[in-house]
Amino acid sequence: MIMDGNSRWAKARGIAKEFQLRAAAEACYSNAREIVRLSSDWGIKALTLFAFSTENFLRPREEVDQWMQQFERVLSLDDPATMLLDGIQFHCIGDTARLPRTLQVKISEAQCITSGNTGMKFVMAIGYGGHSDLVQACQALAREVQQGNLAVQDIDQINLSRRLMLGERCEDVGAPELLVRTSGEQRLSNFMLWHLAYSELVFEKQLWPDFGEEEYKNALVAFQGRKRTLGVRHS
Amino acid sequence: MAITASIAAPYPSRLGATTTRLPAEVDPLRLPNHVAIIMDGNSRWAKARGIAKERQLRAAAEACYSNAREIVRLSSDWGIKALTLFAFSTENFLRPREEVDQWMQQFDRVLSLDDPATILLDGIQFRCIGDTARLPRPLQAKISDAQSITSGNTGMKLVMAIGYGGHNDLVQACQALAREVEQGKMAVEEIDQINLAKRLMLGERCEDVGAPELLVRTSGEQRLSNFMLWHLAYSELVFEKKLWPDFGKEEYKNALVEFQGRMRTFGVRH
Repeated sequence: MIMDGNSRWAKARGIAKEFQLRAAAEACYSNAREIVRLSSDWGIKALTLFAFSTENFLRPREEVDQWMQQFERVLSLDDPATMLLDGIQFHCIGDTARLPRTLQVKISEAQCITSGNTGMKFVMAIGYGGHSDLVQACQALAREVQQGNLAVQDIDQINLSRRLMLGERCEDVGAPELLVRTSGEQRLSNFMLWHLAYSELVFEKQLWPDFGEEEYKNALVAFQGRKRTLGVRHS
Repeated sequence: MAITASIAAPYPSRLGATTTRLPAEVDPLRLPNHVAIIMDGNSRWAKARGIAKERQLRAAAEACYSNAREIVRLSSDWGIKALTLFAFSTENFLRPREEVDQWMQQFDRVLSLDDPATILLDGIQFRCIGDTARLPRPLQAKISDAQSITSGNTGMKLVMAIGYGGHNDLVQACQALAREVEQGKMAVEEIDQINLAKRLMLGERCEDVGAPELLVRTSGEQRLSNFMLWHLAYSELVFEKKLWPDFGKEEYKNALVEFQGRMRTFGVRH
């Protein structure tokens, strides 16, 4: 899911300008927590949330800091706002080296502590960019070739996708069948480009903090109404 | 007797035809430079027209390219600089042989300059992206000729993606870069977004065509179907319910108006 529309939501609520950033971040994750819970309850096996992109690093410092603080809260097991709910296995994809050290530690711990869990896989994309992901996968493969561990001709779709961050860090999570983006924008914003090749794209007009059980249900119903042919046969 | 050399235009021109004006609702200053289109819905269209089953495949292919020709013309008239059409994917090779052949024949026709159905209209520069080695040899030759003959043109760039897959494209780019590293021509750390993009088929074959600002897919399906995944990172996606053969001037205008109504932030500002 691309959780878009948090800032617009805070603005539309008439929240004072100096509190808008924080309100947007809190509303985003308050809702994310609910969606994580619903997904888990409903039997979704993996949920990936696009939390922060490589491009988002270019936003004003104050805003970036606000999001980083929010991530630290929701990845702390003992924080009331935690998203590490019962049984969930947490994974992170993204250029984590660019994140504040304290957050890197939190991410590392959260992955570690939940690794033995058997519930839903919950992936957060923090500092993630589809282009960046493909470049690092390509570098990894080129390195193997250089070291004589792989022939150029052996580079194929399977190898490449294994070196993408999802493949490296969450081996058993495949491509998403469904991508939901809220707030009405219809674009991918450099999300998981490789993996979205055949995903059904559902665009929801509501702003993310307003994307609740009803809207999630509607998205799943819309998904189930689609005929997926994967290019081979006609719908 | 004066011998008048008749300077035949190397492509069928629309003698006497006027250029279609950009509709008033579309801002000429904010046109997308590059439009990409997934031309979906041709088979459904043929079926819905009650065409006899044995003629549906051909009708679908002809309707597809009759409309494509019109959209190529409109795009060129309206000042679009590059138009990419998703003609045939790597997955489409798995369709029944009869259907694959039908499309291959259609491509042969529309890429022949002297065929009335040609889409190589005035001044257009034609390029092809895709795994062309998998195509019938005569079609490979046609593609090669069409690229060659139109290479000196200065009009709109028309890119047809034939035998194209986004995954396949990324794999071949990755192989190309790994080969350079293996040969000592490039360091691993020098592999970056610019280098990777240059090795993708669009970068290799149409250097000066950037990512499409706008992707249109017809027939109501909302998915990318393994099209130009790298390049679609920031494209505005417009999904049109009409089937491709019914996507005409009015629908194209609406898609452009919708595109212009979007706020494009590239993740940086709200």
